[in-house]
Amino acid sequence: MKEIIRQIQAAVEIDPERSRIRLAGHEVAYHCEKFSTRIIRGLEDVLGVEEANALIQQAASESLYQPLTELSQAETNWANLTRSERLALIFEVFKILGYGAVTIAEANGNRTKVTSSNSYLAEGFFENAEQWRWSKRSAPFCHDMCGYLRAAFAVSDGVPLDRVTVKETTCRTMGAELCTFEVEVAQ
Amino acid sequence: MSIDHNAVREAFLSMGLYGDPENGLIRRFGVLLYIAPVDYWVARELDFISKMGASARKLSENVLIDAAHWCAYGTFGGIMASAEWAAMIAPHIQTVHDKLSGLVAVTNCLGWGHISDFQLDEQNQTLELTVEHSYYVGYWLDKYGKSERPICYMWTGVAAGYMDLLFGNKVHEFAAEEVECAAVTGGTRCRFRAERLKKKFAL
Repeated sequence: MKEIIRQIQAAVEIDPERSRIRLAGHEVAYHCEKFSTRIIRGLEDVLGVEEANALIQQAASESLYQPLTELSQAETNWANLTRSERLALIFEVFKILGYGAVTIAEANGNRTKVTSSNSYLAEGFFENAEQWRWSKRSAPFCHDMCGYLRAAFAVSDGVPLDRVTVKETTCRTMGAELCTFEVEVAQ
Repeated sequence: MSIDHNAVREAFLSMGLYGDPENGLIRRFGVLLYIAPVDYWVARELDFISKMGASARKLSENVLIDAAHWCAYGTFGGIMASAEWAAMIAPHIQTVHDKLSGLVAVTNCLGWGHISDFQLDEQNQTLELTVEHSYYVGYWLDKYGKSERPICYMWTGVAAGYMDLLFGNKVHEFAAEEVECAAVTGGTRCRFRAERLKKKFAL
């Protein structure tokens, strides 16, 4: 696993003329938590939380599905890895990208519970809550993580994105100790 | 220009801007950074605009520009207060123009496209910003073909946010608009103009 992580980190290409970045062959960009939290709050204000979640989750899952598929193809031992080993590898990639640490808390057939003590958007929410006077939320906030987990499980299980559903059931921004994501892969 | 943009880029890249191996977070420049495919950054905005429909287009564009405006003010304010800025850029700043040049140098490291030129009029407090290869444009042209309207919402907010930081006391003292967009022209260049927001009923 360390080798493929090292390869990913080494696979950054910068085009100084265009100021564009490629990571493992895919165009990526940095943004900070102020942009993401603010824009997602804006989408929620206009669309409502559920529709905003659906939109962001879809964009996030579709954007990461192909890069993670290529990762699975680049890992020569992928076919011999267990599901939890595959997910552990993908979660290491999430760390590289700055999404925070996620772990599998419980696996039961086609249902899996994933938790995070520092999911990126929740961290971003707390980072700005005082300055922007945001109070404790009444709905989960980690919409992009839902999408990234959807892509992770689809690639891990070798199924299309539409077979995977992810719902955040507890969120630190609502006062929970951990963010919890319930993942279901349809048979 | 006394800010060496190549040196800033080299320094930025040498920082190894990846998540911490333990907690998976990238805390640098006084902010929490995050890497995502360009498709994600752009799709969530354009899908939002599309979902809102033509009748609410102005409202939805304003939501996106406003988020970027707040972001630019907060993010670049954080960056200017960071240890990295103090070490790499602050020693070379003598003028407001230099400060903006430092901000441009950092912005050009983030993968959003390339600010190739800026014209800052300190007396009239206006800014004209030229961006080549804005990350919105390729995505839009591939998916929809030429656009009838400018689409680089984030850059519009950034242009206004720069000016709030340079000349204002708080966010929203300046506003910006995209006056030329490569998604409309089919070229590579977008231009933005920022100026102080005109107060209603000002005497």
